[in-house]
Amino acid sequence: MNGHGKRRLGAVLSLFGAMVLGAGAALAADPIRIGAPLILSGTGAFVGSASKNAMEMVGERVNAAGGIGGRKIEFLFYDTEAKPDVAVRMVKRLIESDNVTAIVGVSSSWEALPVLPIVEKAEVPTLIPASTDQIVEPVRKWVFKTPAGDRIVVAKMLDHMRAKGIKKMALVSTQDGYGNGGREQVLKQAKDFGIEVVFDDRYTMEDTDVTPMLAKIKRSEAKAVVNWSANRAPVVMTLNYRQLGIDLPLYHGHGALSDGYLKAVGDKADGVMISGVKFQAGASLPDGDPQKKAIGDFVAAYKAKYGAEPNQFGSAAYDALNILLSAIAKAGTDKVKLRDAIEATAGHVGTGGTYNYSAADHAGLKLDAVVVYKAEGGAWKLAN
Amino acid sequence: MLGEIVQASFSALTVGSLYALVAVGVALIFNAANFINFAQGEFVMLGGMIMASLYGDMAWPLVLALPVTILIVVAVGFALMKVSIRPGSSRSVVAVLIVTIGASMFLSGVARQVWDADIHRFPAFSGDQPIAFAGAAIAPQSLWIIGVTVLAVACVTLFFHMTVLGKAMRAASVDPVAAGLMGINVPLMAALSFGLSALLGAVAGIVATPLIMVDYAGGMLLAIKGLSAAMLGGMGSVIGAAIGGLLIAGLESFSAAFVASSLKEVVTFLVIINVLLFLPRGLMGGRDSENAAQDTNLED
Repeated sequence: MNGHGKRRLGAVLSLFGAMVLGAGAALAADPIRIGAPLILSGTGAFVGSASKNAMEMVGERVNAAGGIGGRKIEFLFYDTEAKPDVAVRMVKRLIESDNVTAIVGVSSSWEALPVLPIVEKAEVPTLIPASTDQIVEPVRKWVFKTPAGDRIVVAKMLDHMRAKGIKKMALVSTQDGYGNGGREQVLKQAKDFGIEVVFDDRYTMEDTDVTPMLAKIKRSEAKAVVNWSANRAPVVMTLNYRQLGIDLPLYHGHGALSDGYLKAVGDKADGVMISGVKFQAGASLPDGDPQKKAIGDFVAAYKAKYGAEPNQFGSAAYDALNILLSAIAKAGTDKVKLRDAIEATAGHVGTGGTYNYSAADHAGLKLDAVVVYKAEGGAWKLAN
Repeated sequence: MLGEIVQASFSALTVGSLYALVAVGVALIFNAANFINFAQGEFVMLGGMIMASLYGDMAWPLVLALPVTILIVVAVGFALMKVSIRPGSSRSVVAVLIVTIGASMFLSGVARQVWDADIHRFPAFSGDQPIAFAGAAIAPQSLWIIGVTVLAVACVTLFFHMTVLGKAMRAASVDPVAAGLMGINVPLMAALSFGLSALLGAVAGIVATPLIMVDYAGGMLLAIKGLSAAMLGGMGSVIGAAIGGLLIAGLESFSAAFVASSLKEVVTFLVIINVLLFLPRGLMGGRDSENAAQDTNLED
């Protein structure tokens, strides 16, 4: 009992000592605290880990060079477990207890939506590396995002179809959040590009055979087919499409823009087109492309540090953090001034595009941030 | 038009065969042990995954990959029974049901660790060149799926009606007490049902994967479709389960072709609900769950 009490006294004393020391260090150079609520566990851990890696890489570089205005950067990484309620709790903790200057996170669209009103109310500059356009539509004063959303991805695809002289298309999508989002955008924007949607039907991600639906498309007037689905659905869809010998151009949503898709579909993927961010193209972008160097630098630095290829989630957080740090360098850590500086970001060449935020646009990207890919011999090439 | 009808028919036969194999597996275990095995779809998933590794990635010859895959899945089936279910033990039907749901999650979690979260596939047995027939295009693997299912259902039916072992298994399922008194080893018969059920699952996974692909998470959904099929056909009836599977897939395919793909689940479940309202014992009048409960009581 006595021994236990002594140990506890010792612990309290050392804790007190640490606090004194910590306070002393803080006085010397108060670090800039950036909150990073990310998905760091569970099946989606690869999303948040890539973001964390990219951010730590930037942080080390900046701190090694003496920080910003003599102040080091300090990250507070919290695991949101891909759950909206946990994300909300972590964001509140970052704001209320940790008193962060700004937030880079959360990882996913479904976690982002419940977080928005909290950061708005607390007035903390927040950059979200998740893609849904709902994050910035309507514009929220304190919230910005980096990855291209469905709106411009769909616009780029429709633009490509128009250039190929396609006037009528068939649309199929899965009955889930991802399929709904893409379908809505296609239906909303097709007219602007002079394209008529002559067939519109839904299926589910679990469907094992969609040939009855595709047989109807074959008989329709459509001159191209757009499929908006993720996971296994685009694989099933493509194989059935080839089985029926439909020879119309096939466009998928960017959910299929992966090596996993190419591996599962094999040579039957040849000719499939997808509009998506430039990250996948990397080195194969034309030399004049502003993203080519940004992506190349990021990939090289990431590989040198971690010995692995980065992914687009790392890229989105990397851009968000760089935009934030540039703004801090200009405006300091006063939240109001910092927010204004982020909103004034112009011509920031990132890995996901060239960002130009404004009071009316907190997504910052134009059509030129997106390219159309074509599957060819087991790889994604740029389509012409 | 004819082309679309033929296309929808073959789609129905292909998907229906898969549902039928799962449903027959569900029916076998229901007969043997009076509960519904929610892990039935995991046998299909494991069959597909193991085959994709052995035959697809490691390029084993078919004659070797096939029996090894089936043996592993059947072993998993026995293990599942031994560890978690133990027929004849005094656990309630609900408890066992929950155990099988847990087993399903466990097996898919293990599969995710052993393999990954990606979609797996291996080459079709007779190539990918579609067969043109009456305005429709049919994948050769569809014919494999349909053929193997017909063969499997025929074998199971013959086995139960023509062989002593099969008859003993039926006797043990109809009246375990009397069967036991007649010298039939009832727990062994139940174990055999599990093995057979796992075997059917493995076979389904092996023939269907080249066409529909497999990933670690696909088992539960298949189990639900198979269970719906088994209930529609009449719980416990092998032929009923097969017919139920074909019927569900038929409803799905034809509503996708002639109503709208987005409404196919609505149409399908509308029909299932109505059939079960008017024919609670299913189309083939199998044993309903009330009877099953009474059987269990008799056992006690």
